[in-house]
Amino acid sequence: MQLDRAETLRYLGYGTHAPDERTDALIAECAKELEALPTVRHVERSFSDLVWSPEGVSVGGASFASRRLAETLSGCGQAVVLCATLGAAADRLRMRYIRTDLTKAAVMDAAQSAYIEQVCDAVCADLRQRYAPQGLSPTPRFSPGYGDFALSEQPMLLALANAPRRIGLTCSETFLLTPQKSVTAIIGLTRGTPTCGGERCAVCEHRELCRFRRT
Amino acid sequence: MDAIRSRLLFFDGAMGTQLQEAGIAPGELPELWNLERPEAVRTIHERYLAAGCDLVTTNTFGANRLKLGERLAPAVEAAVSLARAAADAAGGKPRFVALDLGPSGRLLEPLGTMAFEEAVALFAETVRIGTAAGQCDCVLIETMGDLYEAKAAVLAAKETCDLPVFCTMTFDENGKTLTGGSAAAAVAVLEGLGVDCVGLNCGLGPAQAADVFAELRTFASVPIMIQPNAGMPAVRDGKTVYGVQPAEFAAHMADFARTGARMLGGCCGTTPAHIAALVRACEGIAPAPLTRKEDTLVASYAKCVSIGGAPVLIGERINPTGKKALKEALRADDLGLILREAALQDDRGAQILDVNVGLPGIDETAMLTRAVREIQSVTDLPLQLDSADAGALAAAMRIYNGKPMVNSVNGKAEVMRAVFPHVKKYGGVVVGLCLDEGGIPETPEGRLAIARRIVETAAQYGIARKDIVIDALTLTVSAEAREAFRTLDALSLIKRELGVKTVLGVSNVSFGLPRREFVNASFLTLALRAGLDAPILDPCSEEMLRAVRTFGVLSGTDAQCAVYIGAYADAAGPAAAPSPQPAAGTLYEIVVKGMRELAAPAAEEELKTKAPLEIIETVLIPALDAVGQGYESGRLFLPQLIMSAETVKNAFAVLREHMKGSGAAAAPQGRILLATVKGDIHDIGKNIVKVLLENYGFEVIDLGRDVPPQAIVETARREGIRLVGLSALMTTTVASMQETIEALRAAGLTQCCVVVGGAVLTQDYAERIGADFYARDAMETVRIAKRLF
Repeated sequence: MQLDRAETLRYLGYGTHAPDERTDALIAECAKELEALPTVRHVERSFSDLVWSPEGVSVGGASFASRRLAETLSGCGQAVVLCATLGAAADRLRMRYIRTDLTKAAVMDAAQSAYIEQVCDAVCADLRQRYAPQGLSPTPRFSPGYGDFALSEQPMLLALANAPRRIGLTCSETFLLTPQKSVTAIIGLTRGTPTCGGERCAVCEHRELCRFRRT
Repeated sequence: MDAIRSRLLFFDGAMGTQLQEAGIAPGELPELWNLERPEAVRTIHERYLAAGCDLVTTNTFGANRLKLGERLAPAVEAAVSLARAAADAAGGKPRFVALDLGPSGRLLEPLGTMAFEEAVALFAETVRIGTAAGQCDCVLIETMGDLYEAKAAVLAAKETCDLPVFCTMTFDENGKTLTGGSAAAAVAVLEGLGVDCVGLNCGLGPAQAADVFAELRTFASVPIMIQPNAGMPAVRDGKTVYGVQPAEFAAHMADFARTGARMLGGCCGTTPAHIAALVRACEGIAPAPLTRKEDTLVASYAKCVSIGGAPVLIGERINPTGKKALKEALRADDLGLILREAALQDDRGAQILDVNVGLPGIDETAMLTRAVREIQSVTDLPLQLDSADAGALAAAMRIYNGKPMVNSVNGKAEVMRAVFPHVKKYGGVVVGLCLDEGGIPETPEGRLAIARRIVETAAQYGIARKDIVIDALTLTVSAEAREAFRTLDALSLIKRELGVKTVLGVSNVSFGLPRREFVNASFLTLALRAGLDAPILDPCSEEMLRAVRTFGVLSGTDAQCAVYIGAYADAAGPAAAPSPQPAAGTLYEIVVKGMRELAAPAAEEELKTKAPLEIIETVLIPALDAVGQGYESGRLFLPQLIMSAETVKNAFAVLREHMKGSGAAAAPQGRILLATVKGDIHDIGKNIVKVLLENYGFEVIDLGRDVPPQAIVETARREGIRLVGLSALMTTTVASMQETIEALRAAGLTQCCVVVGGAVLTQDYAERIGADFYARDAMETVRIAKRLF
């Protein structure tokens, strides 16, 4: 999968500005390294036992106290827990460049953020295709840290997908995902169009102050 | 458990899958069923025993204090009792109980936040509880995805009990563990730690496991265990299923048994039916004989290097002897230069890196362990731990991630006594120097005698010949004309008589002569012909690389001369640094454009007409200010800011040299302490801030990442720090930030101000947690520092 350069530039704070030659060259180098990463992995697990409550929603028997999550999943008969990671190799690349080429480290950091999102986008596209025959479509993915979905829910999400064992994704006692370039998310599967109101930036509560907005 | 030496042994199948059948919910802790649903656990054991397995593994896969807290002891004790009772009641043949340990659920440093010793203690606690009643026959460490964590668990088991220890790792379809290790590396490390059996489990079905199994067989001298899943997982109706049925599973396993597996079982998706089929299919298969492998293997967490085939290059640059810059860096506690040397040698083709940080007046144990940790976060090359201090060597061997080369022992009894036990415990390939209490023998026979003594003494400690590499010692030819050939004769003799691999540092030979590289290169060629396996050399020296490559051609080891041709076919010659374009302009322009490689020559140019301080004040700072403004106004972006900062850093290096020469060092504008707070390991932002602050003349004490509040307080107090910069990038670690600020206030450090930064922070939040300043970005931090000092 090829690295999305526009997204990399967005994470670098370029917005829609064009990069200078050398930054462009650095992005190209990073793209090559990322496309050859041996440790990009993901795992998904679907659950059809969704139970809503005033505080939130429970998936697979695990209760999540998040109304925003409950909203995202409203009307869904199933939900998919997705965990994805670029793996230890990606972290080691960053660690090396932090010590030896700080500029490249900053570019690599942005590139890796873009790349892991691409990995997730690809999984979501695959879900769309796989569930279309059943008349189901995936909602936008919703992760701990969004809205009122607390970071402290990471361990439960990882456990639901058996992520530590299947893809080596764990989290620290401060709920930092390790390896770091990783994503955990819940995706609802709904009949008809998802009602939660749109993608990403448009629905994010930080959109007014964020330096990395898409538009 | 002598049984493992003489026959096939069968393990049980999946516990997790069986618990799911019995109704365990996702996210529920299996180990708690030992207390809440013991009859369900016992039934599973009984079913596997009835299917014919020799060993049952206790339901303690995830049993550690982090997951179970106070319930750890009761859960583990119950697990062991249940397994023991089931085994004792099974009858038929002797049944054994294996205490099962799985991964901790946390990644070890530097990828995660768990320290190595923390992991060892965590596993040791479970082993202690589980083996206290003497009901277990062995310890099984399984499903390990990280070789470092496996090392922690094996050490924990071996330091806590005397039972046999088995260790199996999980590999993916590319034959690598989750953190990138190969099967060869796993064998090298685990056998070095003294496990009684190595193997693979989980991750792969029996068909997919064949390649990894073959690699294990190629390198392992101990018995091999294989416990695959019942195929690769597939999702059907939202559930994960493993599709390989018992008959197919058993057929594959019988193949493994015929070709060298001694311990067989099943992982995810396997059932008592799978195990029963496995036992039946293996009936009458005689275990393949174990063969001792003689490979001399050195490994990192990822790479395994075998010494004895083509010459293995050991990079020598990380050694302060004769290197002023390195000595200064070590005294200043700055590992930056060492890390760059590590990366540089890696890029230039070194296969192992020598690490020597011995310097009078520094704490070598602390420095060596720190250097090893940091170097291993920058390169995956195996390391050669080089120290005359046995304590430092031991500490470094313990925390080293892999199986190191250990430099060195010699013929002196006390040195061997001090070093060999650690080599035995932690694993390693030890370098033996041919000198003893009497000095360095003049004759080859004299050096052979010492080498022989080293090998024989090592054997008393249980260290095999394959793990010893002999250094016949290179002396200076200009001091004694026959030294060079004497060394080579000794090398050949030792190799022939003792059958050990050889290592040699070639640079010594030319000491005192002009154009040393010519002499070194020829000596290297002769040494390679004489049987040198691992030269210690400077991989940045074209002469040395040329000698190695031409030897590859002449010895026929470079197949089709491919390496040689690849290096030299381009008529333009080896890639040299691109010659600076003269039209690049003044130092000011070079800084603004961020042309890092041109900084040094441009700075030299400026020094012809200006004093260093003048250059800083009239060229560098204004250029940085211009770039900073461009960045803040959105004309320039982060990569350009960093490139300019690095350009200034390079220019500074030149100016500093000059200032030292003239004695006019610039006093720092102020000293600032930087740290990423406890629980957080993001550090790109902090490092950018550091470079910029140093550009502007501040001295930065960087405590790194995941720094506990107390460390910050102590350093701030000891160094009289007036400005502390804290970085945190998560809402959860901002709490650590607050804790740190409170600790500083509580310590009475009233003159100390705190500036905070990080993506989740705002001015508002910064005030709420008691910070004095909030910095939106790196440039803001610089402005705050300038205002303060």
